[in-house]
Amino acid sequence: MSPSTHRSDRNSGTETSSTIRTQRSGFRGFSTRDLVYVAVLAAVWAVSENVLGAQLHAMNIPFSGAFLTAIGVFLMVTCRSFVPKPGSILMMGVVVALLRILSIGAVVISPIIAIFMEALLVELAMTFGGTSVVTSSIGGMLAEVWTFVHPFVVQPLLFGLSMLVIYGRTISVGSKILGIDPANIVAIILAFVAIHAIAGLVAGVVGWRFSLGAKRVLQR
Amino acid sequence: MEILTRGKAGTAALGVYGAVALLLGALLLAITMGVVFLLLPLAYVTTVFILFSRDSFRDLRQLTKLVPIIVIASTLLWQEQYQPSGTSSATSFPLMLGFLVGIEMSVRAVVMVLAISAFVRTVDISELTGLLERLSGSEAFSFVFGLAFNFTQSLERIARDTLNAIKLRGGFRVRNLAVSVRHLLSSTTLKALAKSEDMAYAAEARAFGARREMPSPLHRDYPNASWLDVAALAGTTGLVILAFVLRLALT
Repeated sequence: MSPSTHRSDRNSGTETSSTIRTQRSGFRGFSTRDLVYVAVLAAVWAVSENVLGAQLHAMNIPFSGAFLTAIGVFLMVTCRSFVPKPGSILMMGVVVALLRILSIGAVVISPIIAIFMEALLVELAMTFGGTSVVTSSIGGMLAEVWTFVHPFVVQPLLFGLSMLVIYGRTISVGSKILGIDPANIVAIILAFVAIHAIAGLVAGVVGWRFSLGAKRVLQR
Repeated sequence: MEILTRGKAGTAALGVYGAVALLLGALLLAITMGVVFLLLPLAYVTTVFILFSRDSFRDLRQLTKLVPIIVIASTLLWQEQYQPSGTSSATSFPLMLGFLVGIEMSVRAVVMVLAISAFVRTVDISELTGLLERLSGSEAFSFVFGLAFNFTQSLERIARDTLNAIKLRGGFRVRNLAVSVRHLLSSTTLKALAKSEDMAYAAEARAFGARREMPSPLHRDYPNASWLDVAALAGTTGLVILAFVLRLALT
């Protein structure tokens, strides 16, 4: 049986029982091909963090963290499109977090938690909402908003709840020094959240469209 | 203490079970203890580090900028009314109080970073994936992790070549950043996905995923908990109980 036959079997939703390809690995019904897709896309994510992260850092691009998260969203949505089974994105996130530990040579906790949380949010959105362009964009929005919220969650975890008091006090003192109404600061924060949400939405839609195009290209 | 040294063949060493117990104990103490009681988990993780993973002290570098900022900010901004009700302060000077709060927060951060770092540095990734395999009842996770790990190096080479090619054609300037990233990402991802087919065939040719009708050469013998793991679990449990009893007795 040729590779193209396998692809058409997969795309038509039927699998030929005479091949070893149909055998399940025993991990919630993931086939070998599914696991390979998850592994490969996890590797792409890890590499993009290293290669693109270094490039963006060298270019002093603002919001480079949000940019890298958008790429992560793109890859997570592609993963779920190729492997439409619950758990695929979460497995990818855990693998990327472990790869990140190995690649940087030191245990930097914050990005590892961030990667895991982003994967968890996209996984939840696409598990409960189904695999579609709408849930891709919702998952992307949640993951991107998390990058903004992340320091305010992780730092109190690391330093204790006193950190929240310091944040509140800093905003209050900063608004007095700059002569800005504290209500405006809230508006500025909301604007940042909105920028992140839009970036996530775009990444989700682009990821979905890319995955459809990639399937067509791979079928040729 | 050679018996506690990792990687020496034929000697007992802390396994994944002991490491999980140490991690959970240290994190629990760091989150629940406060003020002077935080010294207990600090002494605990420091001892564990000296015994098992001295390299982990290097991971404290990630706090070198954050800790001074926290201490300075809390010293300048902390006021007595922020003190949680029901807790007593060691001093009535606001600056000193803020400084002590900053130190407490920093100690908590040090404990958590050391605990997680010790865990990651002490436990082999293969042991960790083995534990996950055992919990999930499948070899799928270690297959995915191993494949991703091995594929990362060749993929990074492909990505760097593509990046350099795009840069040589005038890409990766601020004005064309989005297009450059799109080209880099789409070409790298498509190449990787195209290779997936071959990888899946190669894995299946080696009988990965085949149902196990008889004892398989893929079957892995999972290590059982050593006496050191049991000692770590018992010691951690004892320390957590002691910390809570001390806190109840002294506050």
